[in-house]
Amino acid sequence: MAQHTVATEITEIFREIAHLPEDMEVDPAATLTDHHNWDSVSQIELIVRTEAKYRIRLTEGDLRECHTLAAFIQRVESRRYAD
Amino acid sequence: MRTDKAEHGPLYGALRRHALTEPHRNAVIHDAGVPTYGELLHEVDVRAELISQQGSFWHILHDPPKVEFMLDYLATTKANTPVVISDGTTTAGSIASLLRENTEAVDSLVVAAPEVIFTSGSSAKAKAVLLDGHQMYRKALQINDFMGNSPEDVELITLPLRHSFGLGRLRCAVARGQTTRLVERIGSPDELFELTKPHAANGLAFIGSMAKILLSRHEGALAESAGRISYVEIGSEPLELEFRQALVRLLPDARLGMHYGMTELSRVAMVDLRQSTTGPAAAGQPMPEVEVRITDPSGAVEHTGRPGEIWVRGAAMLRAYVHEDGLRTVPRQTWLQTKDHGHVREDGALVVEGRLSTVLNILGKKVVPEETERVLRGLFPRLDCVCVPAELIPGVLILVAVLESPDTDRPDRAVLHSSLSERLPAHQIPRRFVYADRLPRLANGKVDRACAIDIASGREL
Repeated sequence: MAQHTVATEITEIFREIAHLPEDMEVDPAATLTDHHNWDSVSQIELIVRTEAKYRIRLTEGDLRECHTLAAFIQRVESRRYAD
Repeated sequence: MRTDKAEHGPLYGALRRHALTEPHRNAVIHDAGVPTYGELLHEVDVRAELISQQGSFWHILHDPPKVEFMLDYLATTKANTPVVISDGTTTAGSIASLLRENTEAVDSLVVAAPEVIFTSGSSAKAKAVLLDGHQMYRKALQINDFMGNSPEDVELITLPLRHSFGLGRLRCAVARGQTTRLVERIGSPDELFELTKPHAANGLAFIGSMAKILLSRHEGALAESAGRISYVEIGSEPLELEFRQALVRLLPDARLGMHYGMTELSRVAMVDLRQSTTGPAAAGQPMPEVEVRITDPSGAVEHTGRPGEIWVRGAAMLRAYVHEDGLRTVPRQTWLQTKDHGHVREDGALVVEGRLSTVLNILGKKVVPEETERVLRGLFPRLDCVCVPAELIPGVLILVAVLESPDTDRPDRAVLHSSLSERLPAHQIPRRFVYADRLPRLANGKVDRACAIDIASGREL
């Protein structure tokens, strides 16, 4: 059974929200808004679903600094250990 | 040959006045520059000349970049050319052709600067409305009077200009001679406030859902902007009392105007949220030149205080519905049945209580789930589906498609999304696609929408 990391799980959530094909590679360093289907509601959906999955609460400051998927994943990982 | 009844539309007249009196005032701030009103007028004149040379009796305006949209839109108001504001579907082209074939009818209906804009409407059929630029300009002046914005203000517009609300804000800004900061879109709600900083933007506009998202997740950003934001127009969907109170608390010095309206008539009523923090959440007093009545199911007028369907009419009312298959004139004095439920208070304020039909208000747009279902089934005949609302955060709904397929090799969400994008406007496309083993059904075989909402929301059945 494959071991799911936070990074792969969040990337999958992101892929779903951005309506990306399953075989399309996601560049974690790309700015979220570079994705054609991404908007402010997408960002809220990413946050809400991530919080529900990991039972964490992201602060306003967390969100402000996460312009890329990589930064968001890093922030979630740090929150998981902090909470 | 089209006979111009006016030399140019009134919005162009306002632009020219501002360019003559304040030629060096910044008109637009966008990624590639900051043209002044003098420069804007010159560019609009050039584009209007090009449109005239093309000899078209209509002009189709597509989506972003916004600055291009703005320049072309203003150019059509100079050329007095009917403009079709595309909603991204192929229907815009056929509607433009229809207008060309009905030039005389359009001329007889519209005084100046005819414009056709698509509306999400309250029926499953895609439709557009023919509006009179002269009346839209009057409306912009009335909105400006209510909002109290001044030529010194800088308004940040992130709303799509092809929607009635966004285009209305653009008209207001140009009519007032203020500076407009155009931003294509935002990726994070708090960007709204970050983007106000570089050019000291002090005016904003957003839909009710955005207000709820900001209050839910970005309260700090809202509070931090309190000293900088002078006015906000909020619209497209109701905002409950608790959210109104929170906005007033966080932006105590800003003029917070909320509207109730529709593409067919622009703003019907407006309310100052600072005066609406107690009692039922009123949509406000009817705007000038607008009449509101409440009716019972037979169409008889209800007395003050009794609820019923909201009917509206006014000077800025659409002149015709424009479908692919024809132009349906709307006579003056016609009452528009909104399919909204509400009542009028003793002080004359309108209170909107909700929708009468199954039409959903999702992120400020009216969504007809059955239309999305019909298109999905047409594109993917082996799929069965139901589209339902799911709550993203308290008070904010998104559209979710719950799907059933007998195949193991079923279309993935990317295919579903891209296929729908070619047929439907963005607001009619589900944000989530959820496969279920079977669609929940009632004893009579109909899809059980209540159960589907549970599936869409990730709740166990």
